[in-house]
Amino acid sequence: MERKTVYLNRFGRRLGTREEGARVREILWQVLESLSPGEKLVVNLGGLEVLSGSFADEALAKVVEQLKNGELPDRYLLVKAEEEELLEDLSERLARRGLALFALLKDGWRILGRLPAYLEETLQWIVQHEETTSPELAQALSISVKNASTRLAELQKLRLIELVRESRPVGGIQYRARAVISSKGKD
Amino acid sequence: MPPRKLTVWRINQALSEWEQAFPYPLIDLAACQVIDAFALAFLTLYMRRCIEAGGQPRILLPQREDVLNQLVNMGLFRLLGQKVWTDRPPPEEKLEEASCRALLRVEEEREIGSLVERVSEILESRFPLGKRSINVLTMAMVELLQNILHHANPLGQDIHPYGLAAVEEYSDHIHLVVMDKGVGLRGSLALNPRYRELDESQALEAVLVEGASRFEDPGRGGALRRIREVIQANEGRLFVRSGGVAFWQAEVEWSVGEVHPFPGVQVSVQLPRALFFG
Repeated sequence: MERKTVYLNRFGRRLGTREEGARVREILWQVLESLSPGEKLVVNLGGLEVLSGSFADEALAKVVEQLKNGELPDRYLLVKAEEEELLEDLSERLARRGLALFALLKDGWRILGRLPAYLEETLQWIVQHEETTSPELAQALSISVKNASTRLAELQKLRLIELVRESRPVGGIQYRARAVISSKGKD
Repeated sequence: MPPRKLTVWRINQALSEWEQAFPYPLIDLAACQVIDAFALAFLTLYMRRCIEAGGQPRILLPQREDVLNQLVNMGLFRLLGQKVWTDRPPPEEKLEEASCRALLRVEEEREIGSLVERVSEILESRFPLGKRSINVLTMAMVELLQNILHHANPLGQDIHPYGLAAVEEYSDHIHLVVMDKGVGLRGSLALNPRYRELDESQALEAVLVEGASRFEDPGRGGALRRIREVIQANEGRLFVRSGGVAFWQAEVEWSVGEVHPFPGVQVSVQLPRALFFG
């Protein structure tokens, strides 16, 4: 999956106000618009010391919400941080909006915001295996194929996985789910 | 009786005495030996309010030279101009470049970034090992200053919130003060129909404990609750005064009580200095 990276520390080490956040959101959105379907934007938070809740909500959570609402289909957003502590306020704002976002850390990845346990279990499995289909997932998690399909659709809506349409060998179509990150937490 | 100490804990009694002669109070600081940043910022707001009401505050200046210099160098007279009567001419203000103790005015959101950056740089040079604590203080300062601009006069009424901030250093703690004389927490929260019926103490609790906001947008609001939680996690103390009530938190306990009414929101954040050494 191709990617572009924006380093937020170019806007300062301490990012705080909504006004600043709104300006950065516009820039992030322009970069997302420039991506081709299937590509992702990594927002690198390295070098930042403060990321306030207000800034995080305005610059990042609102972008994630727009993506969840179906804008710019097949584009993905992740954040990358050196320190997990920096992500606390962002995670809280995402949770309040009912959103989830991948964060890449030194020692792996975690989900920011709010993700129900059954979706987190599904996502863990997909990341570990890198890709899957509904029947494979159903078998692995001992759930029905319909349930597996629903979970994949929900994760795709949250832009945490990519669903790629493909032809079945015996005729018809199926969707292959691909993790947006690798099992080692690499973007 | 003229106060010997004018601090966040003692300003309430002084206020009730000054109010008896509003808007021409006699503010007797002659015997004052200690004035903290909260009291000084509050005094500035109070005197602004007297002037806006057509009055003229009168000050008996502190006898102690260091206390008088503190009053002057933090910018009290710079902010109030010639509209205050004093029993003798105050000395000239000396600007301390490497200090963030002066009272800072906040009028526009775009000023907040550079102002907070300056305070953080000074704290960083003073406490190179206190990165985490400085970040906590920075976060609190950004959110509180922003709250003034977003909430102190939400309907654009004919009131001047007059946002002020200051940071001061003590032997055992760092003190951040942010305040205004706008509509107050209840005034802001009441714009949300869900909270319209709350009284002042209920509004204070709703904002600080539940994270309530005048905004329906789920991403908005909650900054004061978050600040309270972070202060608690860092063994700090928080005092928030709004209208006729105040909220006080030390360690894991908090309480709400009545105070002499004053418009706006006045916040004191104290973090133990030990944290600043990493």
